[in-house]
Amino acid sequence: MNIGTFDRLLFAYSIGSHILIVLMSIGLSVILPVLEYIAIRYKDAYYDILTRRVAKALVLFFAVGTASGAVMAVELIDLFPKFMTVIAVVGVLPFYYEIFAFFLETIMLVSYYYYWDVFKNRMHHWLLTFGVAGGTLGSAVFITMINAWMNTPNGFNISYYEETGKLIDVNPFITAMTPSTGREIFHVAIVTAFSGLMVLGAFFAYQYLRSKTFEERNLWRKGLKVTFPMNMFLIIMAGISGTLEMSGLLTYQPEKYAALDLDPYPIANDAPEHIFGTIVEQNGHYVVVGGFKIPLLQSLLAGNGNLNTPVPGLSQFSPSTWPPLAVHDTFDLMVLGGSLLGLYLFAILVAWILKKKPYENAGFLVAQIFFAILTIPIYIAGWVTDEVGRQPWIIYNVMTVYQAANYSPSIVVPGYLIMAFYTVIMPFSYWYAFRLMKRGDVRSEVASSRSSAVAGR
Amino acid sequence: MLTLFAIEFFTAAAAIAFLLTELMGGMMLLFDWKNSGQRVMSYVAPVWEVTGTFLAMFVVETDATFAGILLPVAFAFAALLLVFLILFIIRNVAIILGEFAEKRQVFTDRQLYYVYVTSTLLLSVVFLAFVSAIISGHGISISISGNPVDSLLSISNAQVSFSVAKWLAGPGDILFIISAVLITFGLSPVLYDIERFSAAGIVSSVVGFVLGLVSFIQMGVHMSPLIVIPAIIIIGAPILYRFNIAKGILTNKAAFIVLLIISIYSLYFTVYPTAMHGKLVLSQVVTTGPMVLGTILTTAVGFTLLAFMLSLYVYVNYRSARSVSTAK
Repeated sequence: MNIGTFDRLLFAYSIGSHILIVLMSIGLSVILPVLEYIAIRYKDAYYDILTRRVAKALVLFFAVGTASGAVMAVELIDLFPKFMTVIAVVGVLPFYYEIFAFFLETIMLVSYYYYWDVFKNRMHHWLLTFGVAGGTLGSAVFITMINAWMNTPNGFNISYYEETGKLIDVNPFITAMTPSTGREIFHVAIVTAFSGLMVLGAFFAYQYLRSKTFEERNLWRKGLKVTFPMNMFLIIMAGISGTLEMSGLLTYQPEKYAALDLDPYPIANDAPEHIFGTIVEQNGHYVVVGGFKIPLLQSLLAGNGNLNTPVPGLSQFSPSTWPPLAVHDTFDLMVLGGSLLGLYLFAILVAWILKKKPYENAGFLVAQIFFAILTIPIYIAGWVTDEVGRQPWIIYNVMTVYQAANYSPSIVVPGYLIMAFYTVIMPFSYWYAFRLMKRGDVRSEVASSRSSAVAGR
Repeated sequence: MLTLFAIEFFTAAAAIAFLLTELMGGMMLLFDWKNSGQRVMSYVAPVWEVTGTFLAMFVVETDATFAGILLPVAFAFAALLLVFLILFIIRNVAIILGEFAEKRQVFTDRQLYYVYVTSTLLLSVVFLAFVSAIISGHGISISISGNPVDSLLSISNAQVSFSVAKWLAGPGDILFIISAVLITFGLSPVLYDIERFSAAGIVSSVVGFVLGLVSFIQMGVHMSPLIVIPAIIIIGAPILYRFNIAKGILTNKAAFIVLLIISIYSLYFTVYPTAMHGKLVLSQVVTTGPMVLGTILTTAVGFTLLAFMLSLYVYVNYRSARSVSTAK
């Protein structure tokens, strides 16, 4: 295997694993304020226990995420040195901002978890959860800024750089505000939190199904009563943010857009949506084969209902810069999977309105586990779509991945070690976090929580 | 002093100070688990994440400050970097598992904390090896043509390589690490208020400081009068503690960390204006251009926020300590 290709494989494997840790950190950090607020507001011992257990799992994911983040940072320098040199001169500030978000997360989480009983007023303790969630989300936001900059670079004289290889007219501040930054942050934050909460909901559902006592069932049911509505809200936001993201691609990355929607030629109006399939060349013409078509749908979505909205085609670009067309399939998987998740959550909403108690219904709970498992490949498919969809570029229209790569063979052995590390640490983290969250006798914890509440009055 | 370097060195000092406080705790755990274990862990368990964040900040600031030469240096030290990374991962995993260890598990919390201490000690040694190489230049071969930050040709502009064997053979470097370990042990009874080691602490600090001076001389460092500052802190703190003077301030973790940062920061002359025993002129490689303003502004805002955050942390720590002493 070419070393440059190995660099890509290693980084893809690492980031694919890293984001599975991150989605849990984000999911747990955004549910923490909700759980603790309910615990305080309604003096509910079960929510208090849930808060403590979720906080414990969050500390674990945070610890592993820190180590994994360090690995990612070193990989970026070692695997793509030329890219990091440009980043250092033009766009390092979002990395620097991320460090302060990371500090916010660290100090708030440390103060929150390790000094729990120091806070006599629980509302003061609860306020820290916003710092934890803000820091965790902030880290994700700032890293996504870098990714958005890779998709729509700015902040330096690009044409001069392409001619001479030198960086001039650098404005480090605007690299955090590219045309795609807002849309990408919105979508990434929403779907990451959603995925984390789906997995957490599956854990609650699984534990509920295995529970033997009333107290245990009550604990996990209460957890589901929070994850379900949060996920319903987030899936709607995911739909909106995904649509915005696509409209951004249409304007700023038309080549990527055309690959995702499998458009061989530009279409002026009434563009159909291709579901799966690929493009082949026949007699000098590109044609879509396989899959199926839904008439008008692409124009309808791209133009927000306006069928006269033109869409770009791959023929407008050199085939040498086309992304691999497999991104069309990953894109379809993501959208179809997301739609299925939306339907499932809609069914829960209907059942809830009809007072069918979906959080106690075995069918819905088994479905929650199934759909949470499905969420992971859907989430990964989204990342693959974004990253592979930018190929062959590492910085869109500026630098290819192969130009940026490190071709030293010394990368290979440590690379395999890092892959081995992720292969072990990722499932272990999930297993151990779940173990931490289920550990303990709920009945005695409820009793202890109630007695401490009485003592505190 | 170059502003970016000043910021970068401050962060390095803070990261090293936090790492040393952990290491001091680790030494007490190794030598006196039974009596000191709980006291040490009540500090280390919350603070180890803060140390990790300061180390991450150091990496990012290094990227911003030495944009042009970072990559050749990172390649040259790739092996050390990898070892550091592996130890960092082991450290994180061991402490978190130790913290949540169950009674009937394969490893006890004590065994896991020993793994944490050992990995922290080893990663500190790796870090100190890197620092000593940057000070002495032993084992490092460097050649720079032009100014590497002017263009993206930095990788070919700057050639850097590092030989561990040559570094080991260089005078002063190993002594530097030994002196750091002795100073760390010497200061640990003060930070963790463990009187039984206070006499040994004085001896260890004095010997460590003297060996440190010798190592600097062997590494070719031009001594600055600023060396008086770490001398006062490193030798003075254990003596004052032993004779029960200003004990309240010295055993205050926040005050102690500030003193450590001051002592480490005052050693900037060992790498400024030239590092690697004159081989590397910093003004030649420190980033210039608009990123300087970006970094300074971000630092000003970020450090102000960080000061508030650390104040909160110090406050809850203080409240916790007070409630423990009230309960006693």
